[in-house]
Amino acid sequence: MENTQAVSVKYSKMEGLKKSFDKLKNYGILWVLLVIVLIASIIQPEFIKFSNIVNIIRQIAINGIIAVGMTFVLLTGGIDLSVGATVGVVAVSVAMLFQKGVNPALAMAIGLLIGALIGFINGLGITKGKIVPFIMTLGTLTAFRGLALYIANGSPQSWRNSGVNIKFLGQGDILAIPVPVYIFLGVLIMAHIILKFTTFGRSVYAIGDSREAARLSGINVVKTEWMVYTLSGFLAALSSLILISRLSVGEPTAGEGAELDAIAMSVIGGTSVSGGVGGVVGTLLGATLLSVIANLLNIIGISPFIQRIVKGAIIVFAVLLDTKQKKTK
Amino acid sequence: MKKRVFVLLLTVVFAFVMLAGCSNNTTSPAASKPAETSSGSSGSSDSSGKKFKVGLSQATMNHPFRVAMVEENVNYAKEHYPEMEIIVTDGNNDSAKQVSDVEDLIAQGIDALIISPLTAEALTDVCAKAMEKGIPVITLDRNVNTEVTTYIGAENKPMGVASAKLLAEMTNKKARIIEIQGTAGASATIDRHDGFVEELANYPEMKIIAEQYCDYLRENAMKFMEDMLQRFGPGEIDAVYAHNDEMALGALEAIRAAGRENEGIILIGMDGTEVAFEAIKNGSMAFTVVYPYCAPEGVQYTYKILNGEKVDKRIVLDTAIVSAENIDEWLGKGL
Repeated sequence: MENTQAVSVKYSKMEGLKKSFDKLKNYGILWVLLVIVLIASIIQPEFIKFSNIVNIIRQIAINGIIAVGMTFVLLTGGIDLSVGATVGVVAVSVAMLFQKGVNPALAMAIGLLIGALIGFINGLGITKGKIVPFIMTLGTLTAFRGLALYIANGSPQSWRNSGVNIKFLGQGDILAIPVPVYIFLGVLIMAHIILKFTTFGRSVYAIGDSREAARLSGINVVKTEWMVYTLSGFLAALSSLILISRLSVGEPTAGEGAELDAIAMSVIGGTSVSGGVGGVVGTLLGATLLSVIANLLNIIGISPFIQRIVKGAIIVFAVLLDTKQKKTK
Repeated sequence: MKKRVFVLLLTVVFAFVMLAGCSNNTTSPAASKPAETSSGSSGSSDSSGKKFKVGLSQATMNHPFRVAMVEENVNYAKEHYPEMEIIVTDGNNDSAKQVSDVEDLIAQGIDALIISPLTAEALTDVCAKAMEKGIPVITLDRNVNTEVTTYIGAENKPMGVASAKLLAEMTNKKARIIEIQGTAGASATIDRHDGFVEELANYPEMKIIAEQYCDYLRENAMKFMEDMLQRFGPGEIDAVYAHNDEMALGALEAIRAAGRENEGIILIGMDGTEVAFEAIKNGSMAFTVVYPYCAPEGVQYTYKILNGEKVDKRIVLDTAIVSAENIDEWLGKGL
């Protein structure tokens, strides 16, 4: 009798420990990050300088905003390859509106609408048209990149002579922290609340787990998916506004490759490409990891070519791990 | 369990990469032996005995011209300026990335910035910021729209003018020309176009029948030329004016593939790469304009500036036309 009691107490203690260890394991990326930051600060004191940290978090913010949108899409089991093209279209559109003397606030609002519209079109094709997300967004990626190049005639659009100055958005600081960081934090917090505490959020996860099961259980799959893609386009547009404010020019090639970075950040952060697993907290970690590594490799002076190899390797490992975990589920 | 292994692996790999990087602090993109002067330095220039920290921000490394610009400067500095530490960044053909690169360099406390900006406008603000912070900015080959310490490059406009003049001579002032432009928004592209077009205005029977931005890349030019060969039949194209040799050669590939190399289309390139020289030697290309890759002038003038010397705001390097006439002098010396 006593033996079994002792054993069961021991067992539950171990269970408790195991549970907390499991939680930590889920954020294995956090450990990687901490270790890297530690090693970095020792080997390269420049890394821990305030100005460098500020640079890093600014980078995280700019890339992270698109990644948050991508996370929503990935959670439903979809993908949005067109976010980069959206950045480009919004960049040149808003720049050209500035050139024409349109009120800056209005021009930027129009930019956000354009992004949402592109997302809306994606949603339309995917939900009503039943086109596979990869193909639909591949189509919009190509078409809208072409549109951006067309309206800008292939050239960067500057508004230097119009007197419009929106530099504060992308280049300004509030209390020594870059403005984009505040925007990113706002987006992140709202996204987290939506995903974890609203019905909409739960629907997103449910659809990713099993689209059919979600539909059968009464979730409006069409509406949810449609909104998710519209959101992705909207956030890409937001990121584009910050980008053009940083460069003071709207380039039709802006955002090229952004979709891949966004996917990388989400996946490294634990969001599965097959949907249903993950969240924006992980995306924050993923974005931080990639930005920290990019910054570090730059500071140390690693050959630019090797930098790309390292980045690619990390992405592959992360997805590999994700796939293996899915298999053992 | 798997995740732990991954975490461990990642950390180990990363540690190796970083240690490897540290023992080769002044890097150039090609595998080069670590110079005797770069000790296993850690960050601050004092501890490694380096007096000057210089950032070298290249727009993209997708062309041998750009790689040479970086390598020649870095190698020259390694040999002649042991107290100069150079950190190289690659903008990856993305102006947003290049802006971040420069910000990273500034954050590391560089004493001078050497930069070849991808496009003029996008890199303007960040160069202005560097100048404001008292960091001398030296632009190579391309310029930005704000005042910098000095600009080193050849004049691109005269190259365009000279090309138009020579073409006029070769075609008896009558030609239908296809212009293959470089990267939209780069000062070099703008100048090479403007110079050519301005000179062309003097010859009413010479005109540009089609043009496109091909980003200085061979494959882009090849695709564009394929389409042009469809659009314009035999005898309708007299010349192709490309803003660099890579694109000229891309056009040549397209012409060959279409079997139209005997039409006598006059091919013009710029830069002066060895492959272009060979093409000129065997007659497939008409001429090219040698463009210096601003090395070692880049680090030479930076060194002067860091030591307090006054330098001119605009340092113009020489260019030269290489055609069938003088090809033998140049063969073997190309990029």
